[in-house]
Amino acid sequence: MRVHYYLALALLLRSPVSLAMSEIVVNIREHLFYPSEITIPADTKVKIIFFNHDSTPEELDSFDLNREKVVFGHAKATIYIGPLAPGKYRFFGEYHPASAVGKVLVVSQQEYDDVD
Amino acid sequence: MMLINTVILFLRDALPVFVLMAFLLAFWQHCGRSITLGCALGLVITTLIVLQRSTVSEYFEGAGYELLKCLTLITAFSLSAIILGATSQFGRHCPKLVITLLVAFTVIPHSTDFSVFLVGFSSQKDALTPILLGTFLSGGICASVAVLLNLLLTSLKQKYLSQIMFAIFAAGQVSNCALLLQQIDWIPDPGALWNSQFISDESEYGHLLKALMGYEAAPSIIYLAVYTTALMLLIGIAFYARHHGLTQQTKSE
Repeated sequence: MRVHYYLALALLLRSPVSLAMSEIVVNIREHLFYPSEITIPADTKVKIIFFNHDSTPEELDSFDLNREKVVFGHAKATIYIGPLAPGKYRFFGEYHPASAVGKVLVVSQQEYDDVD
Repeated sequence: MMLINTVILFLRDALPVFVLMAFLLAFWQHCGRSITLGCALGLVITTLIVLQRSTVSEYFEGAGYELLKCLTLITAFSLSAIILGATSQFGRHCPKLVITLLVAFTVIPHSTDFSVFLVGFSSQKDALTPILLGTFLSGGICASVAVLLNLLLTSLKQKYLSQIMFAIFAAGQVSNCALLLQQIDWIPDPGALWNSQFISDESEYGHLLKALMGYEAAPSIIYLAVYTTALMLLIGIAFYARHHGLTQQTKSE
């Protein structure tokens, strides 16, 4: 009975940060992504915020993730991905496909915790 | 590089508009003026959106652009349903206003991204020539595809086949709403049901099939549900209108 009480209390006191969705920031500078490789845990929804520091727009595109979004010059844009199965998911800048390339590495929760 | 980018972007964005034109011209040969008006109206609205792009994209916590696109796609879908109803009536009445609005609401979501590219890069040094050349080249490819499709549609003896093909096209267009709403987390993303290695989304065939019938190499259950529901709805409307038209024709005789 006491165990249940402590469990309930622990859930109630769980911080908003731990309940919140994971956020990852990716910067776009000189038509390059920083970081160009993102690692996220499998079966988890993640919010990715792209900050475009260039004066020209960029269009994020990913056939693997089924995502497509324009980020205007000196602006930010947000997309949500997941839950995803472990694997490699490529994304690129449609306006600069030769330079603006990146990938999302989805790993198991255990691998992700080990990396952290 | 700019030339290839322009060709790819223009093909991706303009092909669905050209496909729509091929369908409309197959249904009503003399609706060219309504199509032209629709293109002009769509481009004017697109210009206004692109001018206000930063404001529009900030709405709904950064989801404004996606929601605006969804709104235009759903409106275009509703107008497509009216078009299908009109083609099924055995009269030859051409719904000019509906055609104009349908073309305009198809042009808007497909031309905004290309317009952003155009505005963003045409002022750059040495970029204008490849952009114009790329637009001209890809415009030619789109026109060729549209002419071929139009020839195929007009040569079909069974009228219902072209109606079914139009329903597939319109269902494919509105299904993009599922992807857009998943991107902004308005609906859940349950993940892909399968991943077809046979035709990838980034291949030429993938792009063509996407424009023609909303092909997705790795569709989710939500995408398929939206697609199937939209398709069934349009085929139902066409069937009802056809049956209703036949009944009225019999009565008048």
